[in-house]
Amino acid sequence: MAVIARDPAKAPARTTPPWTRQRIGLWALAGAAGVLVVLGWREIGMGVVPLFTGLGNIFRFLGKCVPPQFAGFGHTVNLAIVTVCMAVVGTALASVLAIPVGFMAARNTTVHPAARWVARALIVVCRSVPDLVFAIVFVEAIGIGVLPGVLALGFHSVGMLGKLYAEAIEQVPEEPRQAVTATGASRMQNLATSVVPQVLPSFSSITLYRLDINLRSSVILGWVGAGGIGFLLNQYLDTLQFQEGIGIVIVIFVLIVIMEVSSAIIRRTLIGTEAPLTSAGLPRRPSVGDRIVNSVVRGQPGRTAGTFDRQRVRPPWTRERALRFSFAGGAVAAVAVSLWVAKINPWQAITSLRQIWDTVTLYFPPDFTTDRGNLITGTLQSASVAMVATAIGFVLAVPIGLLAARNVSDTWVYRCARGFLVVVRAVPELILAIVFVVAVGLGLVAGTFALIVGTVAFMSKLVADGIEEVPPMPREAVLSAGASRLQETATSVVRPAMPALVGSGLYMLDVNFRSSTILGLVGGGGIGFILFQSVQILAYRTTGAVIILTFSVVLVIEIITNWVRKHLI
Amino acid sequence: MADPSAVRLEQLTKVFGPTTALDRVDLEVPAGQMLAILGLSGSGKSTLLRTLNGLVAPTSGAVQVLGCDVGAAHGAQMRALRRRVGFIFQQFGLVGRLTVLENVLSGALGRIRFPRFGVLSYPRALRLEALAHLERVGLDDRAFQRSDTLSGGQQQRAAIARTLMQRPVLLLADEPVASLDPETSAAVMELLLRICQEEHLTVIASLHQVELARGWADRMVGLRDGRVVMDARPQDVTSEAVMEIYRGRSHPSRPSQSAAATV
Repeated sequence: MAVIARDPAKAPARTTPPWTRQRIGLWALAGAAGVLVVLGWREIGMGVVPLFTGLGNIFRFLGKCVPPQFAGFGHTVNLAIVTVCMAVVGTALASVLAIPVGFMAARNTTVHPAARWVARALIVVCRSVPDLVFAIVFVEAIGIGVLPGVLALGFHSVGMLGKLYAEAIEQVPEEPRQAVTATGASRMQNLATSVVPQVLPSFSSITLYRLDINLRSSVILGWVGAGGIGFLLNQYLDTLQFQEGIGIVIVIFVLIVIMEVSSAIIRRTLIGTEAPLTSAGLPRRPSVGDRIVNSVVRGQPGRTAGTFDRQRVRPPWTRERALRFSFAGGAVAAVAVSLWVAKINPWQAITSLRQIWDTVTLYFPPDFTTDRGNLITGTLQSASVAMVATAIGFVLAVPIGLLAARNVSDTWVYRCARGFLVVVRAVPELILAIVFVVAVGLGLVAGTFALIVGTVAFMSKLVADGIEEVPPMPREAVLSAGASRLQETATSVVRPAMPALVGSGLYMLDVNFRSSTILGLVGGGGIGFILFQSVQILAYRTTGAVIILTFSVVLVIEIITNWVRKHLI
Repeated sequence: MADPSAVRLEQLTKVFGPTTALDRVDLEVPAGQMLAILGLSGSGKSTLLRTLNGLVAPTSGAVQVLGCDVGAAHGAQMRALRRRVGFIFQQFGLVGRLTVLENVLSGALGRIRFPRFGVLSYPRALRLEALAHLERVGLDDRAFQRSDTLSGGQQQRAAIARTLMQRPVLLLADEPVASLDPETSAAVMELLLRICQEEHLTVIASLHQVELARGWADRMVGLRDGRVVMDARPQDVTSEAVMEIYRGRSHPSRPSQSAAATV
């Protein structure tokens, strides 16, 4: 076979990609990230050694926790139910608030560029102030109870929901909207006809996802008096009743697993009716929900879309329609039952607006000077914790995510890995932090370890989901060229998924920075420690300074993330 | 009506950033006429049609449609005009997740108040009317099927039923059959024209197949680079005139290379 030789008279062959401005920028950022991780590692005094020396402590601690005691089990279950109700009502509140925000923030439905700007600012503010901080403010304003927890979840979740809603709206195709405009429909009529039906599935899926997150957070909110089971857990741990404490942890764990599994079933049933195949070409297995619906709808001949009463022109009860109705009805019923069970009075939220406003003004103007040194080191420490935890979590999450992706892994490995991830994700970060505080002592290292575990659990799922979306055709092509299985995975799975992986890594950095403020609550160090110290000594304006600092760091991360996304994806 | 013409354009110009989509177009279309607009993609056909129902605002010039000054119309006035002007899109413009019937019902939005959600939010009289229109285009048995499960030809027929729901006086069609295969496109075109004749509608349709237009049009107008380069009755349209329309775009950056190639 002849080897094709290049004409030597031509310019020397270039075999490396050219250095464009964008490529230089991305490499510079990657280099800077590497340097920052190393610096952060030193700042924290991170090491694997303390974890091993701490193992003895963990075992001694766990020894004190067994056998778990379910003292006053009825009371515990009651509080657990209240926690779920808090998450449901909080998510519902957030959803109601986020819908107008989302429509204003979406490029194609906003009324005015200024409105879009305001909506986007609102989204960033809500996202960057942790729900725990909202909870502190609301407990201060209206006292201990479930309502402040609901409001905290509600306001904080507006950020994420508004952002994702807006993204879903921006994906609605343009031509049907023009077509409805062309019939002479008014603006509101047009939204209801051409936008709302198109975004409802993604809105429901996003909201369910947020409900999962909010159930986890609502456990933490009890710490500051915002109701639910976390309140009880805090009491037990404060009084060193570890056996009772672990009993509560088990109840929480079961709750979170149930919620995660049921929301996955609902989501798959709703979306499963949309497309029979995943985008990677895998057939969707009928979910439990699918089977239930099938058994109900089957056996009713003549109830297909083709036949209907021509005199009344009413839609027939097809499978999709039955599903949609039961989902909508179920959601409304869940919110109503939650309001009733947890004795939440929405009216009280409106009547206490004045108190809330008065409390908020206590925190302003922020006082940066009194505790200047600690504020600076605290921010740096928290940033270091977030950087290091994200970096290590990322390195660990990629292989685990590959194992948990259905199109890469073997069936059983895939199932075990997915199951493992559900279990690890169900342990709230705060609990992890407590365990690590026991193991390695109070401080940043404990917080970092807790965040690493959380990052691995969460990011592996993102990685696996992202990899399941990789198209199958190029993979076959690479295999046909004689590549080994590992080469094939690297070239045709990991490489094309890389931008998405980096995207989720940056997202985790953002999440981890906000979480690292919460870890201060149990001695995880950093800016969170100053936050809770200032709350305890009622130094409101220092608390205000912490909030502003957190907000600014999250904003910087957001700006970097947006730049990288734009140039990488 | 005092003005017997359905559409009257004077020196209509539309500029998008650096490109001039329409360049001083004068056009008068008497009521009842069936007009075909020919031209390459990018010649300004779509923009011209969209200025007629206000989806695109003109940069300068006058646009009179059914006695309404479209350039100055706003709010209720604009909606009232749009109600009387049907518009058929190349990609059909159906809301994919809605049933066929609800898409047809959305054609009535201009004459009812309040946002609507779901087939049952429309009064029964309208539902019956919508079903009748679907019957007319041969899709009544698909009324409650999701519209994104229909074939292209069926979707365009559903879109025609939606337009009928508006009870229009003027019908604008932007490449109505360009996304369909030849056989389907002939059937859809025939349906569209038959309905327009039965309803005595004024029709302005953009097309790029000359032969298809010759079959039904009373008049053929050619656009190139946003300018009217041909205006004739079908029997007077010569192949030179058609060549003139489809000659390569006279871009300053691309001197008439493609024109040379076609000779």
